[in-house]
Amino acid sequence: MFDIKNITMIYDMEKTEKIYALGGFNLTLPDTGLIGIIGPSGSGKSTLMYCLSTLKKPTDGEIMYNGKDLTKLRDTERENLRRKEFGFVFQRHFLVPYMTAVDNVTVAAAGGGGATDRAKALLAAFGLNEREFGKRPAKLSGGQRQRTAIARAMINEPRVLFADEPTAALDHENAFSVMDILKDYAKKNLVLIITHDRTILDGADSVIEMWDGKISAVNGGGGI
Amino acid sequence: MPQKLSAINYIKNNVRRVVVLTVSLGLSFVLVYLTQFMLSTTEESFKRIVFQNTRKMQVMSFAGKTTLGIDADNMGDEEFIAAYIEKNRAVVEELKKNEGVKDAWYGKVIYCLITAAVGQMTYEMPLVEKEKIPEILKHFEAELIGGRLPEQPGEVVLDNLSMKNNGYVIGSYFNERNYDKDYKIVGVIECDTYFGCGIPYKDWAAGGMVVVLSEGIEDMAEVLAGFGVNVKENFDTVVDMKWGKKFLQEEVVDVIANSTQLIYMGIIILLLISLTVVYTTYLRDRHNEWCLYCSIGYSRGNIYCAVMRELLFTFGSAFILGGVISILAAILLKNFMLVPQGLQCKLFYPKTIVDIFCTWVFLLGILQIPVRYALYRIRTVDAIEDDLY
Repeated sequence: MFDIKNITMIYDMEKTEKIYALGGFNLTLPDTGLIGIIGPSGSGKSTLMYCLSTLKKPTDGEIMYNGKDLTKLRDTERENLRRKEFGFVFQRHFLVPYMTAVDNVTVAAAGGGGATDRAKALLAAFGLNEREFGKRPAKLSGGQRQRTAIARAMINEPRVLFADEPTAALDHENAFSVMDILKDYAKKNLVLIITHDRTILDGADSVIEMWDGKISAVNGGGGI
Repeated sequence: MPQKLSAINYIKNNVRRVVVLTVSLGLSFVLVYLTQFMLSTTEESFKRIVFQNTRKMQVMSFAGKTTLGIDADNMGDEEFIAAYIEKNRAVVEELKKNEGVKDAWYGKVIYCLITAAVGQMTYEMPLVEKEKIPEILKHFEAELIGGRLPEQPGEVVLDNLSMKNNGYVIGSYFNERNYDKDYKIVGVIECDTYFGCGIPYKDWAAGGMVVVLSEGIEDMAEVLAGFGVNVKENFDTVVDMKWGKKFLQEEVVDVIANSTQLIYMGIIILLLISLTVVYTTYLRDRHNEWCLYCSIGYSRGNIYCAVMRELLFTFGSAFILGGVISILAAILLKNFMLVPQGLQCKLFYPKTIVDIFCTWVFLLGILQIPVRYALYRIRTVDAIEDDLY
């Protein structure tokens, strides 16, 4: 699905001491499966995710996605891709504070009818009960918020789900419950998870270890 | 077709904020409309005097020396008064020959004061012999609805609007401030203008005026010039339709328009400042929300359209709310304040509504600045998280 060649991301281009967030490497990702990206802070894992999801444009290299070079797409094409084919779970849940759980999910719906029904079905599948559908984020627990954010990411059934530290704010029980949802989703789609916590990646199809902007190891194969 | 960002989501979940904006805008509508409404009562009331009275009756006073050609320098007071009356009567006879003139006489007039929301105006009440009164009332299509017609010197009848405006009842003394207890109101008439008439004291001599009953002579100066009386603006008084129109435009309409504009500008400036401040605060609170939308694939255009729909909903609701409250308030003011004071008013001012609409379009235009700035500040989530870590 993704074919990445010589991806390079340099911050502070104008300064003499450049910071290489991504140091030029090649990577191929499969159509389905749960891929973990692990590494210490500053290793470039978030930057890699943002580049793959078109939120950031790499300084150099190419990212082929289903035959299209993401680095050469126009803004509207990138927006369409993010709307229809990609789903996002950010480090912070970024739920809209004034909206109910259901509205927070449907706000990302890319079109077609029945968005509310789909949102309710997703939230129910993630363990929220009907009473909680109408609650605003401030009235939900940390786990419920994160599951709402995952439901929002899945409302359009994206082909690629990007999850940046999806379990960071959760206790172990909630973290594993969220991971079960993502593992299940990865059976038919590609799920990329960025984390510091190796334990949640048990059962991942492969784990990419990053260090200083480069891939230091790939464990598990999984089509990579 | 991709789903649009819904404006309803924001509106239904932020009722208090939307209501505050809607009510503020609605009240500004009410304020502007009622200001126009109240100030216009002056124009509407005075218009009656100016157009109805001067259409049916014209009143003139001429300078003895310059206009009537009396050699005042070689005369004593009594001789002058006699000559002045004689000349005026000659003018009256000439006027009577004119086709449009129904009747004319040289006689006394007294003045009735009408007080509107802003300003005062007087109209002339002719004082004539008892027998002439029914003719005058008939000319004014006036009908006695209370009391009786004047029979003795010093008795007058007055229309019901003037009665209300001055707080008179039958038996009150007319305009005590100017005429002491000389004139007593003995009857009330109803007609489509402010009007009254009565019987003078027999011993009046000076200060008479030429009074003409006619139907629609607009320019009396022209009629007078026809037989050699050339009136001059600074020496003579001619109260006719031409004078009335000029007076209404210069002394009423223009003055009120200036006041209305000043008040309107004040309201708009205050509204503009408060609206911009409040709305900018609202926008600031939505920064993260819009960053999220942008990150998950909505364009700035999508976000802008949603914001505009929210604004249009708010402005539209405020316009309807303001319109309804204004009309209701105008009806209440008319029935409980203006009619009891004998003042005239119009409930519906389409020009004011159009003005408010245009001003709100301007306000919407100004609000594009904070909206555009807020859109410009949108970043995707990755940029926010770059700042955090």
